[in-house]
Amino acid sequence: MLKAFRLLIFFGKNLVGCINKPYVTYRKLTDEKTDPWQILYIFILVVGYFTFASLLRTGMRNPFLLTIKFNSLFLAFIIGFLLTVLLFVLVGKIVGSQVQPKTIFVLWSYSLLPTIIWFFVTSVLYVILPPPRTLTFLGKIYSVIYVAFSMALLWWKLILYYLTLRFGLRIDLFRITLVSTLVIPCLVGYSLLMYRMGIFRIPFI
Amino acid sequence: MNDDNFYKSLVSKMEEVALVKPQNIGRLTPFYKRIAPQFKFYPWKSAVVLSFLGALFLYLVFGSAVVRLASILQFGF
Repeated sequence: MLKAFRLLIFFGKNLVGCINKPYVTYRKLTDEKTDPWQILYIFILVVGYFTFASLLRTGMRNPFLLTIKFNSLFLAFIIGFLLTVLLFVLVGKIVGSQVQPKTIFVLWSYSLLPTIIWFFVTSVLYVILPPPRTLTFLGKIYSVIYVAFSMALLWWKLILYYLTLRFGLRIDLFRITLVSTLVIPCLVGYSLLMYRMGIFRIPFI
Repeated sequence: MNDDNFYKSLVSKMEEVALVKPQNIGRLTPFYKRIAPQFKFYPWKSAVVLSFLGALFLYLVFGSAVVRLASILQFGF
């Protein structure tokens, strides 16, 4: 119990750090003394989001469909997440880096924070202000603010992606670009597959 | 010695260099060194401004397509 509380404190500090000082926080997270169990809280947030999203999409009327929806979302996420970490490790070895799978696992988990926040906010806004947006003045203002919000979180995600490769694989910008040219097409392929299967319209990466 | 801020920042820099080699991208290195701190510390200051300008630019260029994009994204959760 005490350990769980201690890990929650670490997680909270790192969460604030990822927002304010991502570079310093990611560098600290690569420390061997970092307890990887703190990412459990990120996965609790992911489970919380998928439960919320499943309830929104299928409602409470059919518990069977609700369970199917939740399981498909969670399974697709876990497979995608593990494949991405595996891909980083493999490509990292190809470019000759000192790969540390545990570090990549922790860093890539923290990079899920912008994803979780974006999906949570989008879901809540879906309930409060259901789409589609209109071409009225307020509709346009809302759309610009929402697109700006999405771009800001995408930017944050890109920073965390870069730092994952920088510290996880310990490589320079040239090799990060090289790794990205191999990794990004795979992520696009995975996203298209998820879209075709009707699991994620926007990839939960 | 532990109260010396310069010493502390020196130790921090040494630890950083020990973990990853300093970034070197040829002629662009000075430019990189000027830009990178904007994203290393408090990236929101620049991210919020840039994303608002970006969204406004998209609206000015593509017009109502931005409204459609917002709708598509909102259906995308």
